[in-house]
Amino acid sequence: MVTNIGFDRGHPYVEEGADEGELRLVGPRLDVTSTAARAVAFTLERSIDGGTTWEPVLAETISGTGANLTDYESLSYGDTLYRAVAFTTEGATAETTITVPSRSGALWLSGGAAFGDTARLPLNPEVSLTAGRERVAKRYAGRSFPVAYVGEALNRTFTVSGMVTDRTFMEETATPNELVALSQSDSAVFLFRDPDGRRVYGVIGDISMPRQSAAENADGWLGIWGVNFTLTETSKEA
Amino acid sequence: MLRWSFELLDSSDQPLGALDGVDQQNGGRADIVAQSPLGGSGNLIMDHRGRDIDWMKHRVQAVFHDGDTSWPVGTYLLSSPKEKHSSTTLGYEIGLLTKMNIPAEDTVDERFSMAVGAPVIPAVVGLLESTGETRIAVTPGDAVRTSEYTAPAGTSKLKIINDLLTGAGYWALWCDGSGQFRVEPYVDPAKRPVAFEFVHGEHSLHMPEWDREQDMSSVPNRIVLVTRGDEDAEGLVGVAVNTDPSSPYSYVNRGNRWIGPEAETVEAETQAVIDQLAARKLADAMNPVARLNVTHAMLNLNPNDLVGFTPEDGVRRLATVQRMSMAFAPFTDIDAEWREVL
Repeated sequence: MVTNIGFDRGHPYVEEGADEGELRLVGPRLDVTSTAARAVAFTLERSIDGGTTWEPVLAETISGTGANLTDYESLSYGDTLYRAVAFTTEGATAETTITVPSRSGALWLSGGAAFGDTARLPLNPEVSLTAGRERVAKRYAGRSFPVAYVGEALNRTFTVSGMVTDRTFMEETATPNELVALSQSDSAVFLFRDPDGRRVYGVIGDISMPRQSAAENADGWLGIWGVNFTLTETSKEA
Repeated sequence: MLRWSFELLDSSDQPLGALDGVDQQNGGRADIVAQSPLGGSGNLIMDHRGRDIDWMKHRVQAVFHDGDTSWPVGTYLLSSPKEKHSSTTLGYEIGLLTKMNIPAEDTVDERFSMAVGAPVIPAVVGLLESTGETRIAVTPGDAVRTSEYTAPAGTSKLKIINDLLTGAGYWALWCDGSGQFRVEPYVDPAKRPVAFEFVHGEHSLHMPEWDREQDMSSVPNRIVLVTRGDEDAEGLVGVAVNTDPSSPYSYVNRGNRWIGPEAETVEAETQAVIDQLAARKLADAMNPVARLNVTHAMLNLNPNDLVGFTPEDGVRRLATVQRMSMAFAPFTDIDAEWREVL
C-alpha cells in the first residue's frame, strides 16, 4: 500500500491506498476514486477438470457490470469451474472462480451455433465406446516377430442408443422431430456429453430411429422410438 | 511415432509455417530417381484449409518423423494443382517438382563457351546462382577444361552444368532432401562408405520379398565402331567379336547369332586404336547390370548411396540406390531399386 503525503493549499494531508485509486483534482481538492470499482473488461474461462486446464469462454468483454451467459459446453454431470478475470484500464486485475455443479443422468447431443441446439436423451441410455491409435506390425525378412509401429492418428468413437417418444413427457426430452432437425442442421461439429462426465466433440453419422411401439390416447398415437447414432471424435476447431 | 509433416516455404526456401490439410493416410507419393537429371518427382493430396498458396512461387518441404529423429525427404516446387471439388471440401492434387527443375527450365540467353584451362567448378556455381538459387553446397575443386566447351544460346543451364561436372569428374548436379544443391566429386561405388547394411535376421528392416533381374539377352557379342571418313580417306572400322566358347554371351553360345548395337562413330587415328576401343567397349558390356528391387523400412538414404544387402541366402551384395519410392503415409515402406556393384 502506497501512502502519499503532501500539502493541499498549505495544509498537510496523508492519503493511504494511493495505488488502488486514481487521483484527480475536483475544485480545489484532490479526489481519489477506487479503481476496484472500475473494472472495464473481463474474460471468462471454463475448466472441466477441476482447474487443471482452462479454456476460453468469453474473450475480453467490455462491461462494467458483468454479463449473463448460458454455457452449452459445460459438463452435464460434474463440476464445471468458471474463472472470471476483470481488468481495469490501469491494468489491475481481479479474479473470481465459481463452481457450477450439474448432475444430469441423461445423454446430451448438441449442435448448432455455440452448441445451443441440445437434445436430451434420458430414456434407456446406452453408450458403447471404441478407442485406439493407428498401429501396424510389419514382418521383415528373418525376424521371428513383426516390428510394431505407431502413428499419430487417434480414434474415439461413441455408439449411442436410447429411446425417444413423439411428445415430450419428461422435461426437455428430445422428440424424433427434434433429432431430425438436429441431424440435418448445418453443424459440422457436434457435442456429446454423458453422465460419466465425458464431453466429446465430433461428427455424427445419420441418426437412426426405429419406431418400436405406440399407444393410443386422446391426442392420437404416442410413438416410442429407438434412437441410434455414432459419434466420431474430432477436434472442436475446424 | 511415425508421421509426416509438410512445411510451406517461400521462393528462397524460408519457412512460412506448417502446411495444414495434407491427407494423413494418403497424402501422395515421392519418387527419388538417381539416374534422372531432375532427380525424381512426387505428388501431394491435400484439402484447402484457408491459407492461400502461391502455386507459382511457394515450395513445400516434406519431412518424415520417426520418434525424436526426423529428416527432410524432399523440397519441391508446386505444379499443376488439380482442384478437386466435392460437396464438403475443396481439395488439391498437386504435382511436386524437384528443385532441379529450376536450372533445367532456365536457359542461357547467349552462346555459352569455356576455353581450355578455364576453371570448371566456379563456372558451375556461377551458372547455378544465375538461376536465383543460393543454397549450394560445393566441394571445391581445381578442375579445368581440357577442351573447349560451347553450348548454343537456349541450352538448358542444367545440361551445361552437368556436361561441365561430368567432364570434371564430378557427380551430376543433385539436390538433397533439404533443398540444397550439391556439387560433389564422383566417388566410385567401391570407395563409397556403406550407408546402411540390410541383413536378414532379427534386426532386419527389409521385406522378405525381393527380386533381382539381369538383362543378359542384350549383352552384345559384336561391337562395330567407325570413324568419319573424308574425301582423302575412307573411315576406319573397328570390330570386336566374342567367339569364346566358354563365354555364355559368345556367338556359338547364343545360337550362332551376332548381337550388337548399331555402329557408333568415334574418334580414332589408327586401325589399332579403333580395334582397341571396340574391344574395350565389348569387355565393358560383358558385365550386365543386375538390378535389385527391395522393399524396406523408411530410412534416411540418398540417391547413389552404397548399401550392403545380405538376404536369406547369406550372400552379401553391394548395391547403389537408384530409385526410392514412398508414400506420404505414416507407415510407408520404401520401394527401392538398387544397382548391384560388382
